[in-house]
Amino acid sequence: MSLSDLFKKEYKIIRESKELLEREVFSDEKSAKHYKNLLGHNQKLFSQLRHLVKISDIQQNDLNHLNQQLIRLSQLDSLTGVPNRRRFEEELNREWRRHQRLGMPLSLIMIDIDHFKQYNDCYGHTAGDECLRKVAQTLSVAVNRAADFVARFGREEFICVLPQTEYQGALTVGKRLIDMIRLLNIPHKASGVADHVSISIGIATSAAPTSDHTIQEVLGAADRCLYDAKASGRNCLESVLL
Amino acid sequence: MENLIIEATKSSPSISLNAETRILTISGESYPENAAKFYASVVDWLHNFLLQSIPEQVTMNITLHYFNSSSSKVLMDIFEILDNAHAKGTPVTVNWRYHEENDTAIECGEEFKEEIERINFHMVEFSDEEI
Repeated sequence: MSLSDLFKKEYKIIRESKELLEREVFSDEKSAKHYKNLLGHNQKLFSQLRHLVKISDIQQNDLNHLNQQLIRLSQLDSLTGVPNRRRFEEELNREWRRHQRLGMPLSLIMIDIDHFKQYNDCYGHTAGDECLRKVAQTLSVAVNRAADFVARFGREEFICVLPQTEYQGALTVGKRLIDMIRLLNIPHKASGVADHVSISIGIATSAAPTSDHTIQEVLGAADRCLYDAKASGRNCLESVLL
Repeated sequence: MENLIIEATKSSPSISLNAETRILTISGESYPENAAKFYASVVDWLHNFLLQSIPEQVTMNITLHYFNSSSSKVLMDIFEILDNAHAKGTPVTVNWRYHEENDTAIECGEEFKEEIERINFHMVEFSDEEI
């Protein structure tokens, strides 16, 4: 809406007031002068108002833009650029409620970089950060359906939410993730598991989110599977169907 | 006539009104709780200063990174006072100073410029090096 539309009524009043003055309806000069003076003040005030509204709009647009930028930044992990844990929790809760309504399966994949502490000790923290960035980007590319979601969960832990994904589908994705990180071929001589950076994976699928387990239980199950994968030698995956 | 100096706070700008140099400066951020109250002494000072009606140049430098709507209204009132003085023979120049990357300050400055009738209103850009 343009400002002339917004102030249609005010423009009309000013116009009519001017016409009144021109028609010389005032009985004496004093009244006419007084009226003219008042009209002048009104015109000034009206002009100020129009500019104030525009200035206010400009500033509000600016603040709104900054606010959106801030929300976006507050949801991303600054190191890796993938969504952070806060965003993950929001997304997970939303997906869980949606899947409860739909009665569709939902899978979670928890990922841990094998012997990352040793990697940091061996190559330094800058290289460690670079490793995290590469792994995060690769996971994001590997989990590529529009609704799939990768987030940083902890220091060297990532998590994937796979909406509408059955157990077998989640296993296929899990294996692909292990393969893709292997293909990155980031040297890791302190690993003891492989000569490159590898990951361990825990997968939990809720076949029917309408049943009596909670999303926290699915998350806990994925975490236990990850623990089992690490206990059974790492660079592998363990999974459970709930 | 005494100069008026007000230190900046988090929500109000620094003010420096110098009767000798005839340079008036407002600089910082302006969102005081009560804009009319905060600027009352500025408006009073201006009235007294302009009463002397010496036909010599008056310059106002304004650098505001952020200001609220109440401050905008007060600024317009200040510009009107200056505009009237200008019409009566005291030449006034307002320099609206903005950072080269601050599009909002540019656009707002343009609005003030449009509102002003007679005084010289200059848009003055500065960069990081000049701060």
